[in-house]
Amino acid sequence: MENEELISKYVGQDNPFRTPDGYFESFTDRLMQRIQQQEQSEKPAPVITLSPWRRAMRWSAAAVVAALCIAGGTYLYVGADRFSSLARTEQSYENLSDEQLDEALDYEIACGLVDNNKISYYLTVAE
Amino acid sequence: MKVEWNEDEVVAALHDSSTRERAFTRIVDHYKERLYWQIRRMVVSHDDADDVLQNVFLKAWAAIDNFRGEAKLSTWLFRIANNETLNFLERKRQAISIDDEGAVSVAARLESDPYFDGDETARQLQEAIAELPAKQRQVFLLKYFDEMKYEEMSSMLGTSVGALKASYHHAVKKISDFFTAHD
Repeated sequence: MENEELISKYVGQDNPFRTPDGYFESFTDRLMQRIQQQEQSEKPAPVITLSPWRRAMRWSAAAVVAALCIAGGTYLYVGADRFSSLARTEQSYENLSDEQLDEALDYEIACGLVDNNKISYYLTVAE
Repeated sequence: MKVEWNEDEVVAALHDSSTRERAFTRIVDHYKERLYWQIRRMVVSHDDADDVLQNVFLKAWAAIDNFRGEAKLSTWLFRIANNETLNFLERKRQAISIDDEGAVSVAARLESDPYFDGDETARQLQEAIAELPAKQRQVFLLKYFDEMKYEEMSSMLGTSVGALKASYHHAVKKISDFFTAHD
């Protein structure tokens, strides 16, 4: 590829970054100490008995979340329509602008190729 | 003596509370460098890369019960790293847009970075890479520097090969245009 060769000619593929001396050697110990400290500082969660008022509030919050999920689902369904006209070929992606391409990548992540691992990952890890 | 890496064995040890911590230590030892460089090329600064890498492993540790071995460990960790890196860049972008003084060019910051050994051209490349949208930047770095195959990238990032190829072509064109303009 012509453009790729141009970049290669200018800068090659060398890594110009480096780390402080001993960084990787000490990383694992530092991390495991941090994990141990976190585990020690975690206390068992107290058992809370909800009053009828707080119970009602919790159900209301659940209803709001459910409504948002439905709205989100509708948005993705409409999004699916927007992209369904694109046959997923390299050429069709080539014609997209940066913004459209980023949107298409988000779309694929959101509803195109979601598997069980991702669902459990997003439920437990994602912020 | 270095213990030979056997992923099935390590994953099994991960789900036994008596061997979990030791197994996780092996995972950290095995993947820290690869993940560090993937993160570092995206966030540029060593301190930021160190913060993000620690968060990646802390989140992996917290979510270890959910890892059942359906995907490869490397894929699972890469996805956490990818998510953490993009979140970090987004938070940083928002912070910079609030505080204009933070908007110093990447090339200028690298000039005084003790952990960057590149010359003027290498700094310009980092500047051009930083101007790419985050996901395009990621595809470019994985393909150009790590020479990762599109199929592997596709399973790690959860996007189609077509979208990845197009992202890479967009990125390469923009970077070569940048160099042509600054030549």
